[in-house]
Amino acid sequence: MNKPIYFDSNALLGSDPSPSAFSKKLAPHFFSKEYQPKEILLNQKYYLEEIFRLLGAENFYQIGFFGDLASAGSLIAMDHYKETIFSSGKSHVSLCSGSFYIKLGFDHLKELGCQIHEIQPNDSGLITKEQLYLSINQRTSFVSICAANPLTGVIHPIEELAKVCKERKILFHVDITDLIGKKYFSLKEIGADYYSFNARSFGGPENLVCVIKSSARSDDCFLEKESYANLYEPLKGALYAAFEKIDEIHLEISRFRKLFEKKIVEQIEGAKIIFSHTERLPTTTLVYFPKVSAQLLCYLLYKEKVFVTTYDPRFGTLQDQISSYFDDPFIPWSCLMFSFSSFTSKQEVEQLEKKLIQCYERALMISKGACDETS
Amino acid sequence: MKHPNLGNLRFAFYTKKILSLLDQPRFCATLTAEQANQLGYRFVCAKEQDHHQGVKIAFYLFVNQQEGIIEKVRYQAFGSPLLIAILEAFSEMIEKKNYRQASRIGADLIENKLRDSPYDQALDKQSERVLNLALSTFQEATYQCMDIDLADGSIQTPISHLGSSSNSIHFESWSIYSHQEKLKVISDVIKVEIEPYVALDEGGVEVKELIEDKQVVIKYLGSCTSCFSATGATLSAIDQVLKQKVHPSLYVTADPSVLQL
Repeated sequence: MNKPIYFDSNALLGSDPSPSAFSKKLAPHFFSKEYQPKEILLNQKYYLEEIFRLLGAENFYQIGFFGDLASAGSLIAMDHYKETIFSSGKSHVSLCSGSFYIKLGFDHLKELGCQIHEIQPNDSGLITKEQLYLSINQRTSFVSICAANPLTGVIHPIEELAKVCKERKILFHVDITDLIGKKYFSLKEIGADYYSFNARSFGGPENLVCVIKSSARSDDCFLEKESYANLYEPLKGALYAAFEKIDEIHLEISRFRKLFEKKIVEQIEGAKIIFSHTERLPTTTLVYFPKVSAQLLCYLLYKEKVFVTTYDPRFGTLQDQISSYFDDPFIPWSCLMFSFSSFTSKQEVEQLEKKLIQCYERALMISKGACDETS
Repeated sequence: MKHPNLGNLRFAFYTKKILSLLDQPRFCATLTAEQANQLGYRFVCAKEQDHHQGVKIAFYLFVNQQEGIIEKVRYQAFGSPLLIAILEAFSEMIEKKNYRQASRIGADLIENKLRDSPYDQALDKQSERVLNLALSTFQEATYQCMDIDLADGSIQTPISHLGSSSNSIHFESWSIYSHQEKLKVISDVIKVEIEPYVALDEGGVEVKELIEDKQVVIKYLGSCTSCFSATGATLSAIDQVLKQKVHPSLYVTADPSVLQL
């Protein structure tokens, strides 16, 4: 019996039962009926300090906890509206495609005159300061970027972008979800005004999105802490575990990825690794498979119990992200994304390679129309 | 077990019919003009693409130049697995039909063919757009046959897709249905399983009455009223469908008053 193997965008925990189960292991008593919030509240300060320390933030940063990304996006938009747009009239906002939930928040403000612009990556998949300059103007008051593109794996130069925003007095938001556990960073060094992350993505509690605000301006609406106090310890534990694995991911997992990429390029004629010369997350690779539809290949792999990603509707389609890279508009439709995690084993990678090559041949046969022997 | 993400989860909603078509695609291949010439057929090829949907479709047909019958159909496709299933189902339906009959096959008929039961939808909104692209590509192919004169009376029994498997969904509760409910069930099955096919030849059929809960009297409409198979192959096929899909005790007779044979 084939064991399922996960290389899809939710593969972070590999074959582990589920992220919430992981959290429960860390703090089982928080999920029991006898749970007493008072006990946690007493430790609140300690846990928050630890969370800030792990993220390289200052203690005077504000942190907000939300049940979903849309609520977090709405709050950031409203906070920004009240503090900046309302007083300055600067209502232009630039976002990258990954910041879809921030866009949802600002969509509510369109009626109040808010204009939203999407920042396009360059030929290397990067949002550089040149790309940023192209998408801002005198009326821009807010920029939102994902630190890394979850589909292509490209890591954007956020420190550089933060400097541009600071010079132009534009508030800067960074989604750091995809950096956590994959790259060392410090919020203080990044120098943005807002940060957010989805705890589920690195094995933290389900339905917990954190927004951190670094500006010294006080705003009570940002500090909804008590109802989420029971999640502080699991969050701290998951952050700790994620950061602890960075070295392993950079050494072992990125080696698996490198071997996988090499094998695929060798075995499949014309296969290409997208943005291979750009700095990428060590756990992600986007591969172009010539002449076959990625959706068909994804289906054939699914039948073999290998889960990979063609696109993630949350982040838009690949066409938006890599169109600058290719002239042929059909090429993005032949790209599959593979996510590796600290749970990925060598055997799983070997199995993936074997099945991928088999499924590619089958997909190629169907796409070329070679199923009918008589023709 | 960890669930696959939403992207992969969509495959779990494919119907059994879609899965079986994907398992063994029969029509994905190419045909050439040379092959057509050797066999004395007209070679027809039509291609379309839509890069927003990531879809490319090419139809290759061998058309009998005397009768306009599509003797052989093949396709090439680039797109989702659903596109392959749609083209497989469509190719199966148009082969051995004349080009006019084939061009009358619409989205509803293909959707019905991909369903496991009349009540479960097989295609989502997104794949409906793909389906429409497939139909418009085929339409392009039929324009290349318009000069072929069609012989009359090319009606065929159109229900071969049912096969021999019995999958009556009303068998268990048939005896407790009221007369009106029974009539409704029979009408529904005829609407889904029979009507679209006879409509290909500009015919129609409706339930006139149900006698003693066993004898289904049907009334032919349109070209069916003057078709010889109305009392032969078509009648027998409708009988077979109702026995399989509704209840084995049913038998079908045609209302003779409308027949013009």
